[in-house]
Amino acid sequence: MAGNGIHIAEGGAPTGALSAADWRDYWSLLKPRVMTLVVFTGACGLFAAPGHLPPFLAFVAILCIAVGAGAAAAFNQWWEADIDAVMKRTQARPLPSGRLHADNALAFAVILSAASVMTLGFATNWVAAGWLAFSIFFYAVIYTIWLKPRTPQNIVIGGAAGAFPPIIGWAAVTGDVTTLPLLLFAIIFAWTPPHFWALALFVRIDYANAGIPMLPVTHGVRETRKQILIYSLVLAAVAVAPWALGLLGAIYGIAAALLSLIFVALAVRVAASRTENAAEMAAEKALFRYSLLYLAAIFAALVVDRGLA
Amino acid sequence: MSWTPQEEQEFLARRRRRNIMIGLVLGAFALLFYGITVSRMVQ
Repeated sequence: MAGNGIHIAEGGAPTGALSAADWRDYWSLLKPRVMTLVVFTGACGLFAAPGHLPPFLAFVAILCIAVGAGAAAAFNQWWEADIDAVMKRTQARPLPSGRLHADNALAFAVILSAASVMTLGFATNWVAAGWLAFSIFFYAVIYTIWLKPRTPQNIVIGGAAGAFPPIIGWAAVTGDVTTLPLLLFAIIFAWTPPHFWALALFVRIDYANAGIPMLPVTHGVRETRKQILIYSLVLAAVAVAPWALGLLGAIYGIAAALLSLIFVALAVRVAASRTENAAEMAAEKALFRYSLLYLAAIFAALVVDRGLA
Repeated sequence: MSWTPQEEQEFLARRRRRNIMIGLVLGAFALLFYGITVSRMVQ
């Protein structure tokens, strides 16, 4: 057996051809699409913070946040390879498909975690590096290993894992965490449940087959729709809070109010829907798509508001 | 179990691409630290 997990037969010919991973398999371990959102919210936290960071160090900080998020995603895929193998949506990933060896994926995740945290600490400050380390730990251990397989509230608490980037970006500039970055954290935290539950409603069969206790599987479609509406109202309140508290100006306040109003309207449509057939869940699909736009728009409004202040 | 010549060729090509990528990433990492050091000294 070779050191990289490729089995070599007695005659010298390697076996298990599919385990020879390409660099693209490692790249996909990082969940690049999720990384995009992390980079965006982290960058917004960084640009919104008072103070100045040289452009190159700002670039390094955003890069470290992205790589740290990618490392957490790699931990997640390493731990959930058996679950991913059951779900249609994830069957083609490098680990369940057998293209990548589990040990290599774990080593990759550990190296990236250490490199991103140390580099961020060296480039900016150790407060930001500490938050990055904690966010990786939170996603990999508290969410993936502990909560996700045990409780239907996995998304609620796990949502915190994706909410750290604005705090890290802010801390990279200021070396401190104040009310505004905590509110940005709260926005992503409250946004995550309606976003993921909208998705979980129309892919709940997959989650049920994989044995993951997602809310639509454990408490049914009706209860999930009710929870989506409740969290949407919480999100709307949290989203306008930075303006209401005088931390941000009217540009942000008007944008947050309008965007949240549409969000709640779509959540009301979801709550009013009665269908259990995934193919007919147009309201849920619309909310899921809009939720992505919502987060991007609200953080863009934050940067514009701070930029003009 | 042994590979066909075609499978072996594919394996070697993948390994080569992976090694090139590792080299590029390590080079970029060294440049990154050079840039960080210069930026911090200027700061």
